[in-house]
Amino acid sequence: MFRDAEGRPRIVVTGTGLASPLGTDVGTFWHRVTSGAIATGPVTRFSTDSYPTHLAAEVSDDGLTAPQAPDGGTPRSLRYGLHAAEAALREAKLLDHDCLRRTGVVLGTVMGTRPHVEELRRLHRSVEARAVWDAPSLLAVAPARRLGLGGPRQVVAAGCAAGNTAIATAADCIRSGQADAVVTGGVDELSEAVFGLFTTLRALAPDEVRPFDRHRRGMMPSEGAGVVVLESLEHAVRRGAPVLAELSGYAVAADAHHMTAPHPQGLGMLRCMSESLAMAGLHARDVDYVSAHGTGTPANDALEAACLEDFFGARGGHPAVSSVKGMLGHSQGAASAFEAIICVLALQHDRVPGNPTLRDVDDGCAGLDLVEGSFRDMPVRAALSNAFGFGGNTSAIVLSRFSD
Amino acid sequence: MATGIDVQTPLPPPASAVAITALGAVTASGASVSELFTDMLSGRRPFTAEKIPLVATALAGEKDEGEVYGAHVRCPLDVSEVVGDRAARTFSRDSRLLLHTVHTAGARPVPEPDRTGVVLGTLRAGRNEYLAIHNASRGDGGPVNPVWGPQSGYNAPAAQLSIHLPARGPNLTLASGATAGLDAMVLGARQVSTGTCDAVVAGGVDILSPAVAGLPGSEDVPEGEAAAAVVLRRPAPDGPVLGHLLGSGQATALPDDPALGATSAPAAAAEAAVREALRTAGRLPSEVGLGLVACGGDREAEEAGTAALAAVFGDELPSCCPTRTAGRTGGADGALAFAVALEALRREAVPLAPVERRSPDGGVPRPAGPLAVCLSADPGGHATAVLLQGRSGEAA
Repeated sequence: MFRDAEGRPRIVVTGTGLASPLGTDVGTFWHRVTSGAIATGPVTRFSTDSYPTHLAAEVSDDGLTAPQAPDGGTPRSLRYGLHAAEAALREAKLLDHDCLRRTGVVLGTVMGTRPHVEELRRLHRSVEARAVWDAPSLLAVAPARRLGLGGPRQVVAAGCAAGNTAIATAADCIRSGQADAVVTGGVDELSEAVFGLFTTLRALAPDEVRPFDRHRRGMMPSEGAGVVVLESLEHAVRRGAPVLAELSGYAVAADAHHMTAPHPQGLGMLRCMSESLAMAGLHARDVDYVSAHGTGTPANDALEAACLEDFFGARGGHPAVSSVKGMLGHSQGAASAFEAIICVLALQHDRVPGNPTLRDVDDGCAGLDLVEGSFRDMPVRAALSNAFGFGGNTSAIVLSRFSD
Repeated sequence: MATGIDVQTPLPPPASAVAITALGAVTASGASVSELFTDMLSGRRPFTAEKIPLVATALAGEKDEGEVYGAHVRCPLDVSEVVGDRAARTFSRDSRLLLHTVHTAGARPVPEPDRTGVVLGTLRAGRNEYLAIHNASRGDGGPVNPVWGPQSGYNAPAAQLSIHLPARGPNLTLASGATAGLDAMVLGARQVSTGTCDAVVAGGVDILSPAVAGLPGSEDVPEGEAAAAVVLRRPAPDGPVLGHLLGSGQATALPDDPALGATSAPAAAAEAAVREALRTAGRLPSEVGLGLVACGGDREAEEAGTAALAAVFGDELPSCCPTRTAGRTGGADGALAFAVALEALRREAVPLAPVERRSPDGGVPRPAGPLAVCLSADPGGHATAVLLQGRSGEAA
């Protein structure tokens, strides 16, 4: 019961938590993400007067986002991560549990606490001393110390595949015996530098993010933190923890092709889908839902759609597909962590989120079963979540309905 | 030594050990581990104040530069022959430094790209490009040099390396603090030992920044720039092997844990990590003849590391800290310690400066046993240790 067919310890999800532009508790988030709510709106963190576009998605909880002190206070990314980690541990009934000594933290990020330098500059604070604003390890150290987590600590960077990559790294931590449980996911905060960069790259949508739409015009930056608690099944059962889903497969790889363009044949994407399903012991036809990376950029969506169609079509699968980035924007390191939580919730509720901004399906994406509207009620036995990033980082995870 | 057991015949590496087949490092001392080792032996500290640009690929007319006191890499980092002129122009300095290091280590080309991974420690990668983008965009909306974009995240050097090796296996960047460089070695070795990869290029890299310029005399050990990398593989009967990674340990201690008593969290974690490395390798403290400590230049963490070595091995274990010579090199610190340990085992010499040597004649001491332990600890209470065996320490 406690090991998979290959003899590896089974890994389960026992808690979820987040700080997102669609809510800072999982219940609100799930309601909004299956209601077609759009989080993107005018940027408030910095002036966009000189930019051609003015929209992004921001966490809108004053307790998490307001500048705290004249010295700039705590980086928002730390606040998001702490909030999400505490909520996930609470749901897992692990807060103040005596097993926290062997509970670790593995978080993924693209920019870490680096965007905090922008806050300091806005406050006219010096940034030339030791760069305390650029201390990525704090993302793991702070929740570990605050919440009393004595297990391994790691901060993983893998471009916008960081959330999934952290989850895979955390699962390996458990399987290698380093930890019984790990708080894992991804975090990033809104950054003017990222906004400026994607402006120059002409990758920002001026009005709406429309993944897989014929008229999609790009992505929008976003922010937040998504966290799940992973445990060995044995540990979860032994302490009577609620099991929300099973992390049955995961894979990470590299395109090794180009710093910004994905491999034209989607080598990394296909490899990760194939290897994660193989680890899960599942066939393509067992996957009912795919949470696509689906950034809303012309290049990503066309290639991802072609890879999904090739991969599942050749194997007799035809899963429902959606990208929540039309609602949430692209929250970088947090993106695939949010999407992992969505997959867990989809398995629990037999409901998947839709593509509410999709109006006119691109011919190149027409072979997919794209979920129209806000949601679809359907049986969900297994869900696959893709994540890809600059630098050619690719990853996929498979979450399955738990069955003993 | 802590025990009276004297191991006369070195044991061969166990089947679970991971072989190290290539090694390179570029530091302020030069473009090889040997040059760093020589500086450590002589006590030379190559710290200078130099004017450096924020980014290597500035747009025409940009003036972002500043004087930085630190350990500057001065050897040319020309990678055009490796990646071509056009690609080389787009490389950030940290990526250039890493690729140069891997190339001089002889790690390219890799035999099976699909089965080769990259694991890298870094704490600052992309910082300068991030600041350059913000400098260019804030206030007036840009434009920024698009070349900087993909270089502005922590994962950029590892990603560049994966492209140019090529390596299509897992590509991981670790930004976990002072232990990041050694963490990369441990995770890389795990990728090999579990069969996820046949080979992993593991290491660490970080560079200097005019945005956080140090001043001469402001700190005992200033920041430095460096890269170190090794190739980890399954042990094979043929082919060159520089040494073996026999075991590893990682441990965390929380500062408010009452069980610690008078011991600090970093010291408790460091000792636990070292003992775990010995346990996983199945080796005895008496076999360890050298300790390398890399704690990011944090005095408390370094003292904790030294105390942990003393607790496990006794006061007589010769130990040293490459950081004092190479500067605080962030994610490269642990990887440099790893590289120096291998070099010490190869030379059968402990790289202690003359003022640190305890031998009455001032000669260079030999390691007191065939194995070396590398230890990183951070002030937050996390520690990583690895146990190494050099080629000369293996049984015939």
